[in-house]
Amino acid sequence: MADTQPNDAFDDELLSAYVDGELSGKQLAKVEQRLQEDSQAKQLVEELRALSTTLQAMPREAVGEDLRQAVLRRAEHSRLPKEKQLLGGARRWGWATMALAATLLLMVYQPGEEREEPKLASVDAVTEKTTPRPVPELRAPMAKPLAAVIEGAEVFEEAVAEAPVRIVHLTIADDAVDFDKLLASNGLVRIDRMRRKVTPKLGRSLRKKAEDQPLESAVDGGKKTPPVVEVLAEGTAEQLRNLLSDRPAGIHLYATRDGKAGSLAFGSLSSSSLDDAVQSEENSSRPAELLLRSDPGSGNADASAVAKEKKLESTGRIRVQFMLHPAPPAATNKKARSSKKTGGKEG
Amino acid sequence: MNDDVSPDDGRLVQNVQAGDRQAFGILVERHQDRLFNTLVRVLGSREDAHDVVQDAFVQAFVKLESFRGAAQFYTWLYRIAMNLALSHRRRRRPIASVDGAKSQAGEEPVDDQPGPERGLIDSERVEAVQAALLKLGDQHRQILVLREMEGCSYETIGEILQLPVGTVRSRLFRARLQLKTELQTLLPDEVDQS
Repeated sequence: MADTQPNDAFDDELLSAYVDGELSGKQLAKVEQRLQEDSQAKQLVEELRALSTTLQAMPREAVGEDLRQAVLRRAEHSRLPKEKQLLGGARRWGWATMALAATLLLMVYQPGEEREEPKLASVDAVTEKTTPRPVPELRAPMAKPLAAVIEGAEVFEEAVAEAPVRIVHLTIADDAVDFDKLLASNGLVRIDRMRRKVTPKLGRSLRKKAEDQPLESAVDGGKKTPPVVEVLAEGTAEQLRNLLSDRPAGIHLYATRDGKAGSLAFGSLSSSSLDDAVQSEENSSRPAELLLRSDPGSGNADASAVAKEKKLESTGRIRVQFMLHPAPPAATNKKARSSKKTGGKEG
Repeated sequence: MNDDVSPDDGRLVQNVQAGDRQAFGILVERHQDRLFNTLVRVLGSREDAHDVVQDAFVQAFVKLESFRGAAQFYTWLYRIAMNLALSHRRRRRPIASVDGAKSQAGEEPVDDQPGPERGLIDSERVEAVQAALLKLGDQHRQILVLREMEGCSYETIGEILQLPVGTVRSRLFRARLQLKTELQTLLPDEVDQS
């Protein structure tokens, strides 16, 4: 292809427009005349046509799914006044009749093939009107933990199954749980996805939140840490529960308040324990956070009793954090993890 | 892209404005793949295109009350989408290429509708063309995609990008020259043969 050295930029623009069939009248006649006399112009037209052919031959990409449901759900939500988006009018309607407007952040760290022990952080979730989030102290994680946060939840007993839930997860790109499949198999709809490098700043932020040795080691040693992927999905609380039930580990519910994490334990996750915990918010007046986490080693307490005892205070917003621990690693991996641990900072 | 106003679109818009939200679902179904394809080429990423196409529809739905039909629905929708795409690009760090997205989503379906040259362009060439597109400025890439891949007329491009037709013509020409140069680097043999 010869270099184009137009002797008149405007005329050459006309050549481009000629290729597109966008000329008529005098301009068309002018170009046709030039093409008969100017071999360079003729060559440029041929090159532009070839370029068009190349571009038009690009394969067409299709979404691969029907977006109607996700779009309409988001669209309806967007039309609500801000305060209703956040609070769902819970107080006006009462807990028993309010739609759950929950945001759930699900984070997963999968540290790559060479690192069997995944690192679980707390959550840097959707940030709408969120006060700084207290982060529960995490215990030593098991393999491939997930963490999730439900945020801004106006929870009620009956409508909880109908309520929208948003899920975000972070995971190492290209080497992760197939969350699309996991979400889809539970009827949850992915509505957003972004890739983010684990920059030193992000690493510090996560480490600060988690205060968890394995995460720290993951981040500190993460000069080559693959990017994480955050996925935001929507579904109902019921679908969320179904998703959680896909995971074999025992799930325990913790509540945190005033920045002091891990102070309460509500026992294993179930519909009733979640609802009980949420119900306990009804009469409270200050923000509270609920951390729901997998911790097979602890078996604390009756959820509703603890909740009532503490009388969690609420402004109508709660956050619930989930940490799901899939099946423990295979025995062959334990050794490797054990050796890696010795290199990390003890939390 | 068909430049003719689809009367069905207009009717559906009226239905949505009258409160029939399901009518908007039909609009989504009708335009999602075409808009998605455009956004994949503009953004260079299936994931980002997936995000922006939904954002565009949501924004269109929310703003539909203000849509008076002076423009065609898809033109208006594309305008929203192109603006969102620009914002998206500015917000994001340098993004993963469409190839990276594909490596993650190998089984994601691709439109199998036959195109005139489909099958004549191999994957390596597709990647090279996409890479060359991503080297262009956002405005050049947008206008090229709208013209070459969506087949928009200059007038339609002007409506979508809110540019005079003369500007469309000159910008498109400059975009082509730049793309030609980029492809000379990435596909010297093929370009020379052309």
